[in-house]
Amino acid sequence: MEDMLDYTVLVSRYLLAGLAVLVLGSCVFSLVTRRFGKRVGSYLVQKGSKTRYPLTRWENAIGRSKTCDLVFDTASVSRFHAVISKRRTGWVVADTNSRTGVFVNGEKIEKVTKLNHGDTVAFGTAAFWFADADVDDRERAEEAKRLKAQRAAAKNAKQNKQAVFIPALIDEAAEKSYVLGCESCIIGRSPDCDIRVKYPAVNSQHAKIYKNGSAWFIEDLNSTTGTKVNARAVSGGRRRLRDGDIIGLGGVIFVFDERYKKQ
Amino acid sequence: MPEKKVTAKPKKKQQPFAWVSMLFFVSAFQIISALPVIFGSEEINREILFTFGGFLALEWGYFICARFLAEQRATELEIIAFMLSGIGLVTVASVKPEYAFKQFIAICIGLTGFIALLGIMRNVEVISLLRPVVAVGAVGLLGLNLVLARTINGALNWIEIGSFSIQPSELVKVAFIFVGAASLEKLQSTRSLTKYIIFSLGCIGALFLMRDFGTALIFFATFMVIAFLRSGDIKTIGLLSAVAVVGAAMIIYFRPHVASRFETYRHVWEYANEGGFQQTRVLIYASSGGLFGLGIGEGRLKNVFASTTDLIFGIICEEWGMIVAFCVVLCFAFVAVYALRLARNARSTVYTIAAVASAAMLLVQLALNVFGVTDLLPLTGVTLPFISRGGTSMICSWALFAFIKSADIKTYPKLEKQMDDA
Repeated sequence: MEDMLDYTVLVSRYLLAGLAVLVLGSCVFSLVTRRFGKRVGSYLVQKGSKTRYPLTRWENAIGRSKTCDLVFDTASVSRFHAVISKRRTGWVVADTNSRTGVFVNGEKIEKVTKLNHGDTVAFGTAAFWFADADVDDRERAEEAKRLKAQRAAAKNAKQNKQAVFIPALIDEAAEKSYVLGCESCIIGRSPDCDIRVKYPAVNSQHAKIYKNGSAWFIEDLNSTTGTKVNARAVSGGRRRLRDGDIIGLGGVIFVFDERYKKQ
Repeated sequence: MPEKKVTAKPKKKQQPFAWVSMLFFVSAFQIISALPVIFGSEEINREILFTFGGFLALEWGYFICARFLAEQRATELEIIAFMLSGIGLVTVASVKPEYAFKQFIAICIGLTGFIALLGIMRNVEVISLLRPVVAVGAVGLLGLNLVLARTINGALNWIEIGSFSIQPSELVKVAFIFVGAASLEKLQSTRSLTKYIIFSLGCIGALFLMRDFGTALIFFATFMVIAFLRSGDIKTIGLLSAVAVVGAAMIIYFRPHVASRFETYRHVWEYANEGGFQQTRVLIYASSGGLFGLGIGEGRLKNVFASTTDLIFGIICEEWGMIVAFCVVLCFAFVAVYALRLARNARSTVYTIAAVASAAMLLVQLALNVFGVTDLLPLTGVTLPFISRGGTSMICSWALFAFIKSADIKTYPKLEKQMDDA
């Protein structure tokens, strides 16, 4: 028994030192690996500039002093103006003997006052909106989503606007379309024409459609049956063509589709 | 101040059994240290066996309840507290077995106080309501101490109730921090420290009258920390320090017997068998312990007066070895760093002040004890927190840990959820 005790005492000397270091080491490891993340509880959004000041503590000092959590270097703000705290019932603001007072929704507060999302709170002349972080984050996410969709639509529209289209003449009766593949096309019955239209009423070289700048024009080539745009004759000159215009070549009707095909 | 991008870092993967492994290490440490004490004599010491069994049951019971009933995720502080209490219990049991059960009861009361104080600290409004009552109670207790106390070892700070004797100044330490902690709203509204200075002067003055200079020094150091935290003003602290130095000089000038108490300081070898007896014995026996110690119960310092109270650090050096003694000191350093990290993220300045002041109080007390017995500072007779024998000291140590723990958001998981919902 005595030998065993001596042996125990001998071994315990080393074991105790090792275990003490181990316990302390595991505590230190636990402290080092522990993360103390800060969470935004609410925001003060400055009126006008719309600068957002996050409130990350449960008690936030507001004032002109550099030791405050939110520093507003304005003459109307006292060095230690107010405290915004998180209580069980929600967020509250308290005036800490400021010179110019604290106003919630335009009314000067005399005691601790509850703050709701969207309330206006003013420290002297510095005015803010109070925004609860959860509600505000949700609203901002929705707003961001809406803006994103709006931007995407605008971008799409811009792309569509900038894209170069190839127009065509649509013969709805024959369910046929003639693409205007060149910048100046002769329309007629002749095989030499850029666009060959096999109608007896159409002359061999009836009219010319050409592009000038970004606009398309039609010109009658002294045809016997005449050329009309939207039932008005094109004679001795040219006529600007617009998307959807109805072109009559000797009684044969075509629709001008300016955006028929993307280049 | 433009908006900063403040986002919580991604949650770390939980280590569900980290606390169990830590608890196993502590229990193994405690069981191995207790074996020589339980089986040291020819017969098994049943009283110590049951006392120690009770201590282990208390420890495991607390951790299981804390983990599963109170949903505690961070239990490092309690691990440290139980480890230090275990070292104290084994040391006391090896030197004075008859005091082991009393020490265990003190740990039980301390732990109960710890849980109760955590409950009180949960609500900042309750703290504000209780503060004046506690302040009046603390001053009253010190006044009662001056009237009723009897002098032990040169200090008038013990009140006897039946077979128990309590040291009110230890309880007032807790009240001192409780009264000093205040919410940010209160601090900004009343930027004056006057009331707290008056309260502190009352406490420190009473301690001087009780000739308990060690505790007075601890109170003063804690007062400075609280004053700085409350005012954030270095000038005020400088002014208060200057006033304190002038006050101390006046006391020494008009009451020379106070200075005579420190005449052996830095001259212990000249008074090796008189005033410097304890310090010289601590230095001799502690050095004989080496890195791994002589073994529990094998030392000789235990025969010196006050070995289980003021000189207990010497016993740890001698019997447990320098590594364990160094770990004890590092435990307090760990607690101080832990308190600072918690205080930076505390949900109210009440908790910030309480945690930092408690850590400061523990560190000052540790420094006065460890440096006192090694003659680096005058020996003032203060206890080593959690380890020294003494009920009120143990209760106070647990209470100080409660202040630190209350600064941790994770201590109140339900409250945190409630606040988030609000």
